[in-house]
Amino acid sequence: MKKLILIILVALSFASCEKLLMPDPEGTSPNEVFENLWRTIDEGYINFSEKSLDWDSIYAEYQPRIFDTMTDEQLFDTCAEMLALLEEPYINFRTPFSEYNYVDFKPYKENFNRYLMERNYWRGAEKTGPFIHTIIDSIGYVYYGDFDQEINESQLDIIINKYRFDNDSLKGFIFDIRNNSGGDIENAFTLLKRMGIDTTYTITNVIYKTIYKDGKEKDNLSDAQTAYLEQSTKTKFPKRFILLTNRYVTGTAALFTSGASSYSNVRIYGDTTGGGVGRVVGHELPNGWRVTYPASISLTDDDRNIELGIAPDRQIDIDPADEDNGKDTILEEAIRDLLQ
Amino acid sequence: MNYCKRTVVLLFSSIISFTSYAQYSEDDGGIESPNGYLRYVEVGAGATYPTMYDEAISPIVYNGLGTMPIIGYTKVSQGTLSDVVITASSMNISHDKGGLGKVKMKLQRAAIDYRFMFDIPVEMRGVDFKAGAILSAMFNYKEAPHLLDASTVYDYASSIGLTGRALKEFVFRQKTCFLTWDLSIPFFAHLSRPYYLNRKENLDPDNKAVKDFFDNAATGSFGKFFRINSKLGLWYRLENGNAVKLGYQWDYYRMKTINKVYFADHSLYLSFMFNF
Repeated sequence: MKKLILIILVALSFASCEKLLMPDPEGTSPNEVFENLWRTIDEGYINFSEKSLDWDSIYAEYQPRIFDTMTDEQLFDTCAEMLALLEEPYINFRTPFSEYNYVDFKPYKENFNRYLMERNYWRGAEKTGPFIHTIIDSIGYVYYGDFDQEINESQLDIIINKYRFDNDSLKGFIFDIRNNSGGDIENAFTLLKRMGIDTTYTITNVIYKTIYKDGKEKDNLSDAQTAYLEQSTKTKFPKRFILLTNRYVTGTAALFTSGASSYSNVRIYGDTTGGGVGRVVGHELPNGWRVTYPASISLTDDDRNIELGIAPDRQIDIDPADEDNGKDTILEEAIRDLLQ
Repeated sequence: MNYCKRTVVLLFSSIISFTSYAQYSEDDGGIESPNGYLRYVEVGAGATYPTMYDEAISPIVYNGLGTMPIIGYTKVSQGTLSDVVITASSMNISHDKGGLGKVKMKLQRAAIDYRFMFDIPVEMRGVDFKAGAILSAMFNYKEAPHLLDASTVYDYASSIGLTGRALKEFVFRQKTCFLTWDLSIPFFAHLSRPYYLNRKENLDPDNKAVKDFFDNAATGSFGKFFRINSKLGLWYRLENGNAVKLGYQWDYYRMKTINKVYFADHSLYLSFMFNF
């Protein structure tokens, strides 16, 4: 019996080594939480090169303001003040009692009025999957408002056949993604494969490039990784193609705009797109508070930062007078140009 | 809950099917194959309690409780023992630090260990010893949604190492029983963890997750991968040569790539050893 007990004790003694082998978790004092937050941004945030501030001197300025006797609220206020210096919309700092977000107060124009569209343009329109589509003055028109709504090839076949083959009198095509805040990138790929022009050979397009944070140092960035897309061999959207965008085209929708702009037959009308295209990383601080920050940069084929927006080929804003008369200036201009 | 139900149904169906193959034997030693091997198929389940500190996820320790099915095959001859054991578990592990509610993370874990051991001609106070090699592979998949685009983390390691067993035979209620203690320590591993900040390049239509997995792979010894697996087993032999095993396993590993992960779990399980 003694030998049995001895074997059991030896075996269990190994398990009791766990405390020695597991590391001590980081402390949760205000100083330790602040250090972790500053270091997390220092090692993970990718946009330092775009900002005219020195993160090390910000540490030197804010660290002396941290005391282990300060309250959670005081710690939050100091940390949020430090993060606000980055003026970064994708930084979010969350605690149980308060939350910090940078708010961009630039006066962007809405440039899309859904009520007006429903009343004056979409009346009698068909709905195929997530697409609202109709013919306006001999121009094919499709609205797609959410990249989270799945697109499949058969839906595109229905739409493309309708506007290419079933109506010989059509003069062009308008694809409206205004107010589309993004979603699943696979839907963007599906659409982009059916854009461009019909060819007897396969065209591969650069749709955007991505640079990732790849290490702790500020200059540890990956090479720009180019996203190529091979066009579908199926029938494409009509050749005369105008894409409508506004400032609320963000995330995947902005990446889609970048991809669409790489096709020579596509013109973009409306307003510059918004950002929100990078990967946003979440991090827990030792006391359980959370911070998020961007960790990648997306570029167009010609190295424009998509985060700063993709400017349209024709900048058009909705004229309030037109709006009062039930007209969407951006759509009307696109129709007029296609009819010429 | 659904996972538990599926595990129970799977175990019951396995027990029924394996019982039909087991043959009754008057010999307490069990049924031997024509080559003189004692062969067992192991089917079991138990509870597992993992503790994880993963720098790719959080500076906070996560833990939880889950179920763990086990299947295995053991072959014993006069001088050798080989076995292969597969364990798997899927559970939520969590912490409730910070007042933002209970933070949950999905942990799916699978491991396969193959061991081959020889008898060591040493007997110490009625305890037999075996020693040999272990080949093992493990994969942990973690999904922490609160990390947004950095939510997916994995740990993979294939390793080779040393293993040993101490075995004490004793009689309980006129039945031969065994107490075994197995200790395995890999010394060389091929391992993989995600890129910095757990990036997935899913914005690239040509990106292949498997390629990323192998791009991140490395080989190393104790500095990169250190694992200790300690198993205690109490075998109680039944009339027909089959056995019931009550087991306790402590499995610990530390993996170091661009960051470190420390993982330990305690498992308590009951297995049926079907002799055929």
